[in-house]
Amino acid sequence: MASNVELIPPGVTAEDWDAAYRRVRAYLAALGVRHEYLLHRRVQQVMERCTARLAASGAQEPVHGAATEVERQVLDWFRAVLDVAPADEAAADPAELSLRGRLAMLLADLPERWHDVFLSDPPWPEEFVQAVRSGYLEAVPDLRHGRMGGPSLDLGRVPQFAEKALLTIDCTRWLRLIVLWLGFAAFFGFVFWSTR
Amino acid sequence: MRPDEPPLNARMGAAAPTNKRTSPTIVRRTVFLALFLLIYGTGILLFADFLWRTGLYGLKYGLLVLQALLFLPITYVFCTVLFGFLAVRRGWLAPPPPAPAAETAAPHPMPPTAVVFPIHDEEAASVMARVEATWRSLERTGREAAFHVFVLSDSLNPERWIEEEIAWFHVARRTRAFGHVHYRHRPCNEGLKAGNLSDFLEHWGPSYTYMIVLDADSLMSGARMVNLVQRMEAEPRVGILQTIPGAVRARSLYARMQQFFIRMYSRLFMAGMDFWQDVDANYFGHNAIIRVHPFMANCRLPRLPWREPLGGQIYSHDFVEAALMRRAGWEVRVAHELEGSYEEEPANVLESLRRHRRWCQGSLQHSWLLFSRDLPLASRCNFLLGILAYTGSLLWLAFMLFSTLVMVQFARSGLSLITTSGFMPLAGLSLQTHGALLFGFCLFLLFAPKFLCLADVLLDAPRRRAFGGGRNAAAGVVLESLFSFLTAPMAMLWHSYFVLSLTFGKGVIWTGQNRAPEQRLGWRTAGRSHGWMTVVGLAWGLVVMAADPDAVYWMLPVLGPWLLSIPLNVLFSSIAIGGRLEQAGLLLTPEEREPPRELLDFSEAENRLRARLEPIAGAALRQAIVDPCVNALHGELQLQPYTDEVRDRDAGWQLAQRLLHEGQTALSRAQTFALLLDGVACRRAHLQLWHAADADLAPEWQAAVAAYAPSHKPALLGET
Repeated sequence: MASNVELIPPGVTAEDWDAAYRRVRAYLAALGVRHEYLLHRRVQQVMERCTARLAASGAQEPVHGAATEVERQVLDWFRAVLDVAPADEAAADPAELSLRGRLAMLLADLPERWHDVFLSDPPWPEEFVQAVRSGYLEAVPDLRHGRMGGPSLDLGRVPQFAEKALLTIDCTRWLRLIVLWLGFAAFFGFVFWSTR
Repeated sequence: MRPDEPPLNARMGAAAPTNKRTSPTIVRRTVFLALFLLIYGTGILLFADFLWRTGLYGLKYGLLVLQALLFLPITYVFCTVLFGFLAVRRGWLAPPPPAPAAETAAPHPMPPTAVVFPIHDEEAASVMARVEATWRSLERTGREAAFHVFVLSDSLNPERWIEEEIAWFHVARRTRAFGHVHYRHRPCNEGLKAGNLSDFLEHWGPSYTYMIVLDADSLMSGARMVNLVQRMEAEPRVGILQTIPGAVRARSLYARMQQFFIRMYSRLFMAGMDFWQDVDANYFGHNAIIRVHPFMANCRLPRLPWREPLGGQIYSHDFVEAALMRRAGWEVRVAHELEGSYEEEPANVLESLRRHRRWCQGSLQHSWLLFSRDLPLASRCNFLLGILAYTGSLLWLAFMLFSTLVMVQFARSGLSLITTSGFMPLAGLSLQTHGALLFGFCLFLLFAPKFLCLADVLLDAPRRRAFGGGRNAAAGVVLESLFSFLTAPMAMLWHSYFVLSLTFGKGVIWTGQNRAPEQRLGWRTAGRSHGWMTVVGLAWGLVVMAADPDAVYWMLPVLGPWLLSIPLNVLFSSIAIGGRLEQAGLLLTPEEREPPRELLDFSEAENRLRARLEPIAGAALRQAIVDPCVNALHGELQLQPYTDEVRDRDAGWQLAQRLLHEGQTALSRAQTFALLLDGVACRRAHLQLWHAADADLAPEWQAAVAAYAPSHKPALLGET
C-alpha cells in the first residue's frame, strides 16, 4: 500500500485520490473485469498514468482526471481491438467509438468469457478477435415500406342518425343534463308506478 | 408478397377471393337456423304461456321481451355446441388440407413469415421467455430460416422499456438468433394494439407473406406455426386462419377453473361455430395467421363516429378486421385442432374484470358497424353476438328487476293468484308443473352444452386419459358448473356496471396487465372491490323479503353470490386450493398432465430471465445511464433505421443534466421517456456520470456508481 500513497500527485488529498481510485475500479468492474487481482492491476495501470498526467497538467480534479485517463485507455484499446482504420471518421468521435466498443464487448460476451483479456496487450486470442470484430447488432431487418389501405365504409343510415343525435346532445351541456335527469326520474317513476 | 412471387391475382387464378357461399354452407346454415328457431320458439312460447296463465299485463310484457332477448344467446350456445358435437362425432367438418410431410416439403422453401408479439408495459421476462421458447420450438422444426420473430413494444413505462431491451438482448444472444429475433420500440401507442400492428406492417409488411400474431400471454409451438403456413399455402383463398388457444399455466383456483373451462368446452363450441360460420369465422386478435398482402390492402380500420369510449378509435380491432377481410372476399377460418396454441388466463377476478372492461368497450363500439351494408351479414352477426355477451348481463339485471317489481306489485295488490288455462290445455299441466318444465328447459339449455363436451371427452379414449380419466373429467365438469353458478351473477353485475359506465362516457385506460399467475386477492382488496356488490345483494334481499319472504329462496341463486362475493373471490384466488385440486387430479388439462416442450422451455427461460432482471428491479432506467453495456445497448437501439431523428438535442441534454444533478424524481415520467428516446443524450449522460465528482451527482447516482466498487464498511470500533 505504501507504493499507492507515493503515487498520489502533489496537492491531492488521500480522500480525493481514494475517490478517484474507486471510480476507476468501479468503471472497469462495470465494463466486465471480474477478478480482483486483474482489476487491481488494471486500476493500478490507469492510476499510474493518471498521476503522471495530473502532475504534468497541474489539474486538481482527481476523479475527472482518472475517469478521463481510463476512458482514454479504454478507447485506445477499443481502437486496437476493433482494428479501426485511421480514416474511419465515425470512430474519430470518442462517443461513437465508445459506443461501438462497448457494444462489441457486449456482443462478444466479454464479461462472461473474455474479462481477463480486457485492456490487455496484444496478441489476443483469435476467437476473441473474431467475436469482437464480427459482432453486429441488428434489432430489426431492413425496412420495406407499405401502406395499410382499404375502401371506405358506409355505416348505414341508423348510425348516421345516431351520430347526429349524439352530437347534438353532446354539444349542448344543458340538454345532456336534462336527458340524464329525465332518464333517472323515469326510472324511479317506473318503479313507483309498477309497484302500485 | 415475396419478391419472387407472381402478382396475387395471377397466383390465385381460380381461387381468387369471392363472397359467394357454397351450397353445403347454405344447407348447414339453414339447418342450424331451423333448429335454433325451433328451440328458441319453444322457450319463448313456454314462458309467454306461463305469464299468460297468471295474467299478462304491463310489467309482464317487459319481462317477456327481456326473456326473448336473453334466450337468444342461451339458445345460440346450445345449438352451437350441439352441432359441434355432431360435427366432431360424425366427421362433418372438412378435414384440414394435408400439409406436406416434412421430408417432401423440405426442398420447397417456406414463405417468409413474421411472428409478432405486440406488447405494452408487460413483464419483460415473461414476454421474452415466450420469444425464446417460440424460437427454440421453431428451431426444432428445422424450418426456422423462414421465420422472423418480432417483439413490437408500445411500452410507455421507461422501466419496462429498458427491461425489455435487456431481456431481448439476453434472448437473442443466448439463442444466437440476431437477425431472426427482433425488437422494435414505438415511442407512442397510437391506435393501441391495432396501431402497433399497422405500424409494423407499414415498415416491414411487404417483406412477409404471412404474419402470425401472438399476444403478451400467448405461445405457439414451432410445429403448429409451420403447419399454419403450410395450410395457408394449400388454401390460397384463406385470409385469416384462427387457432383455438388452450389455456395453460394456471395456478389459482379461479385461473384453473377458467383453464379447464376453455380446454374442456372450446373444442365443441369452436367446431359448432365452424359448422355454421364456415368461411365467415371470427378473428380473436392473437394466435392466428394472416395473409399479409390482402390484410394490408383491406384492413385499415375506420374511425367510428362520435367520441370515445363508444366511438372514435376502435378498441376490439380483431372482429372488424375479420369483417373487412370477408368484405374483400377473403375467407376467415378456424383451425379447430387444439394442439400447439396456448394462452394464459388472469389469476383472479379483478385482473379478469380489467380485461373484460376493455373487451366490453370494444364490443359496444361494434354497434356502429351493425347496420353497415358494406359488411357481410355473418360478420355483423358476430358483432351482435359480441355485443350481447355484455349487454346480455344488463338485460339479465333488468329481468331480475322486473321480476322483483312484478312480485312486489302482486304482493301489494292483496289479490289471490287465479290461473287460467294456457295454450296447452291438452297437456293438462298445473301452473307448478308448467313452471318446473320452464325451469327445467332453461337449465337444460344452460347445462347440456357442458355435458355434451364431457360426453365428447368420455367417448374419446386418448382425450379422456389426457383429462385425467373419465371420473376426474366428470368431477371437473361438476366443479366448474358449480363455479359458474357462483360467478355468473357476480359477472352479470360487473358487466352491467361496465355497460352503463361506458354508456355514460367512462372509458378504459389502456395499461399493461398484471399476468403473474401467483397473484392472490387479499381480503382488503376484495372488500374494496366487491363491497358494493354485497350491499346491493343485501338491499335487494331485504326488499324481496319485505314483499314476499318465500320469494327470497327463488332469488337466492343470484343474491347469494352477491352477498358472499368478498369471501368467494378471496377463496377463488387461492393458489393453495388450486394446487390441492391439481394434486387430487381435479380440473386437470392435457397440458398439465403432459406439459409440451415449449411450455417447459418457456418456464425455464422465464425463471432465468427473472433472475437476471431481479437485481435491477425498479432501477432499470438507472442502469441505462450508469451501466456501460446497458447504455451502449440502449444507445444503439435508438439508432436503428425506424427510429425518428431527435430534433432538439439541447432539450435531451438539459434533461440529462437535471437527472444527474437532481436525481430521477426531478423528471416527470414523460420527461424521462423523452430523455430515453434521445440516445445521444443518454450516451453523453453516461460519460458525464463517470467523469463527475460525487459532489456533482445526486445521491442515487453516487450509490449507483459505488455499487460497482463497494467501499469498506466503517470500522466496528471506529470513531465515526
